[in-house]
Amino acid sequence: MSRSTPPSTNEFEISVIGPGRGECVLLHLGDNEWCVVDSCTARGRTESVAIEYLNSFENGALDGVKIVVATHWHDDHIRGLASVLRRVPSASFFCSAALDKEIFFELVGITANGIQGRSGVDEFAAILGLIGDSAAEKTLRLATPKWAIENRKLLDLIGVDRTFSATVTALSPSDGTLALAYTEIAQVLPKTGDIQRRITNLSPNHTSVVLWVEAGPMRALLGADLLHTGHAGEGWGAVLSCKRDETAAFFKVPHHGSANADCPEVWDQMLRENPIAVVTPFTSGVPLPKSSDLLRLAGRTTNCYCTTAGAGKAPSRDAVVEKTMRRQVTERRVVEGAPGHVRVRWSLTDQMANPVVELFNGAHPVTIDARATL
Amino acid sequence: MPQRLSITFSPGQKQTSNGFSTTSDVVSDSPVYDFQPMATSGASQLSSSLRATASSPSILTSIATSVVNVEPEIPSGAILPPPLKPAVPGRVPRLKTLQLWEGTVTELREGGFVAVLSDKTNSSNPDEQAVFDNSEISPGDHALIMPGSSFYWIIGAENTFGGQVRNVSTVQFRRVPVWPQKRLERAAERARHLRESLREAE
Repeated sequence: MSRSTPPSTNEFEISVIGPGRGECVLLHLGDNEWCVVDSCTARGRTESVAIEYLNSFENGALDGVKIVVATHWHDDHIRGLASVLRRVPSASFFCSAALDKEIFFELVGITANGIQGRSGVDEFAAILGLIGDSAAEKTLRLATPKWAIENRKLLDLIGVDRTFSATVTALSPSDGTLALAYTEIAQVLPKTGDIQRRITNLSPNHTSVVLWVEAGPMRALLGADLLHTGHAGEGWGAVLSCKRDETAAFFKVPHHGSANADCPEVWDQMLRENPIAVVTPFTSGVPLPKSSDLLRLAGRTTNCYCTTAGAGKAPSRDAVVEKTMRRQVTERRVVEGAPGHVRVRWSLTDQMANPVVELFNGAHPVTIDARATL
Repeated sequence: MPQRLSITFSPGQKQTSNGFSTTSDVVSDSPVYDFQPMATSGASQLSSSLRATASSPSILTSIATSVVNVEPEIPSGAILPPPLKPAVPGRVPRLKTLQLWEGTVTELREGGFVAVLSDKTNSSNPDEQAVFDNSEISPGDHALIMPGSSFYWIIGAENTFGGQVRNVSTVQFRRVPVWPQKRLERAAERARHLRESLREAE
């Protein structure tokens, strides 16, 4: 099926798009109503991949976006999110409750006055500025941010006229994780006398919003970048404490498949046997997932998929430039490629139908011989 | 003693009509070395000076005496050549930029650092990650290498004075000011207002 073929009104879709640095998850919750979770952009673009994908249907899908969720403030998860909010002013906007703190607003305010670019804080500044401007102008009124915290229902689509009911519920951050998040933010907050520099994504991901999605009989767990600290009340330990009686058939693997986000109990207690799992690589810094991570994931399910096949191809440049580059740097690689796309659709009127998994732009299955795939 | 036929000047000296110099009370604005008259090139000046020195009848004797007496006479009449001039008038060194990146340090490593490079020559090119060795960076910039710091990397072709072309690669870290207390306080105040206004709008 073509990538631009829209889902039927009775289909539940989960699309995971990742260019190698960043990710965007789109949920079709029936009746052309959508949820956007995080955002990333294609190479050289400023608009989110979510806009490009939903517009490709040419059926007004973008207008059907009900909620936009920013799972956390790191650049690889919110790049282009302001463009989504600008295009869907009627949608609710949810952020991690960890960001509803003066210290984070202070970080946003300070960063907006410092060196711009390459930081998720900049995107947040753009978002908050957009919301502030819209509130002042009273013309295109954007929703003010709402705060996601464990067990808060973010969206509830029910009604007799709907093809199927759908809910989206936050399972994190927990109270225990909030404290870690505040410490994390305080560590990157500039102090008097500090040299101005960009906020890089060196901090952990304790603010992440994990989502539990119910669509008709289907259940999905979107793991964002939440880490497993090993302590009850924090990270995945806290998520386990608010687990449902049901198990999910889909898992967005947390934090690019890294070992420090892996919680075996989640696989045992919150997921069906052999669930569909999707991992988005992170090719900047220390690349994730590692070969060992892919082997671990492939050992957990035979339905594991990866959005991109490693980094993109290096651009061709003048021979003198190439020669000088080789002499000057010891390692070099492209950190993003074309946005790969894993799409899963379930027909909720035909309970016997198997989900349809489609792979676009370099997305590929992760096999037990995972080392060959990256 | 060799006869002083050549003329030299130091700052604050001026030429007199008899060819000898006197110290002036007024410091001249003229260059340190002012070769008057400047009718000829430095090379020909120097050779004429040597000719004048060699034409002195006592010069060879004097040198021989100096050697014997272990009192070498340092010629005081040598004329220094003027500063280098372009081989071709009007030519100045010029750098043609072939490639410009803006880099951001993302990680420090033993003896080097990792940076993400954003192509400013062709913005449609993808970002790249590269590992730099600290030895490739000017020592004066070493203190600036820290996560989040920003630099420019220029690869270009430089036309030298002599008209030759050489490839150059320059990594230059941005010098940015530190955060002053007042600016941080203002930013914090604005953040408080924004948060309050969002709460009111809820």
